[in-house]
Amino acid sequence: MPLMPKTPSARRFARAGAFVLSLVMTSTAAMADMRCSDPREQSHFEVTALKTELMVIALICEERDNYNAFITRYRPTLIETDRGFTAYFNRALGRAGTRQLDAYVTALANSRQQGAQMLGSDFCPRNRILFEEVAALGSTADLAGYAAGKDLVPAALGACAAAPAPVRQASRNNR
Amino acid sequence: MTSSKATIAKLALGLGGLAALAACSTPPTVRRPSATVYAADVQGGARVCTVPQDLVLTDAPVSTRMVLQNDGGWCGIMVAQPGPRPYRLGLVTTRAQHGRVYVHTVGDATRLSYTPDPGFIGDDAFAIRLMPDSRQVQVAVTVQAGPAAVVTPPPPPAAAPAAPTRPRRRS
Repeated sequence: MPLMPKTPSARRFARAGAFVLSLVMTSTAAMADMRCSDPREQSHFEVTALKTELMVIALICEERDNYNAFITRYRPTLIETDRGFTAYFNRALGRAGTRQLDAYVTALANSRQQGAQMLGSDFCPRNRILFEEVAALGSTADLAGYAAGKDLVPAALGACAAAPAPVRQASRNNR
Repeated sequence: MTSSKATIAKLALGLGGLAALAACSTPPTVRRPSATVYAADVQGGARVCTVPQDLVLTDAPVSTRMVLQNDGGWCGIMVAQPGPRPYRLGLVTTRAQHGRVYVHTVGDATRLSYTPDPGFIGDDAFAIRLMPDSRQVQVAVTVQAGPAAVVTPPPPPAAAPAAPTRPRRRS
């Protein structure tokens, strides 16, 4: 008979542990469907990955001023993204959500940094252009569509891997 | 060397120099140096990838097709502004449901790359809006079976080590 945690908090911790284990053990092939069914949640993952990539470029390529300009310009969008991102993890993993969110963001940053190392000396000249592109977006509302075309969510981490999509309320559809 | 031969040699050198100067005086053909193509952008493509070669974008949305075999690689459509110059940036307006889309500059053009999910076979679609001028591209994708999608039979069970048995503990 499988060992079942008795208290709700213990069950949440068990689910969180299973989530982390799945991130570690699941191969890229098995993560094929790790995409959010809710486009808004998918955007939260993509924009977070974009922000992480820009942070890595800023640190490695001495582009701190451009990074600060990006944060300043898109602050309202980024705050909304952070809220949605946090809400997803809290809903999916309960009290362990915050801890798992931190783990996900750390894994994301590590993955982007590894990508930078793989590109070597090409990384800065090739990827600096992202700052020019985000600065050239017509409006802050374009950030999600732009991030969706950058393929920055690592396949090994996926998006919305921890839980199914929420039941959406009708009022939330009107944006 | 006699003095007459030396004079002829000097004259020839002088004429050569004049010819070189004349060449400099004609306006050179203005040609923008090709932008750098990075190694990372030419690796990992699908072996079979059929896309239009000279896709011209207009004010109206342009529909096109992409056919590729799913071997884990990407398939890309190259588009460019006159020059050629890459588009400044691209926005995904319709997401692919079974693959990843990557819009980026490669040399003097913009590449719209699609990588199908591992094992996916079938139809997919995505749409991109390219800036400046809001050029819209709608791409219908057909993903065919590739080498990665071939299912190999599992090894015989005798090869697997037997799981150790643990004594049950009474509670």
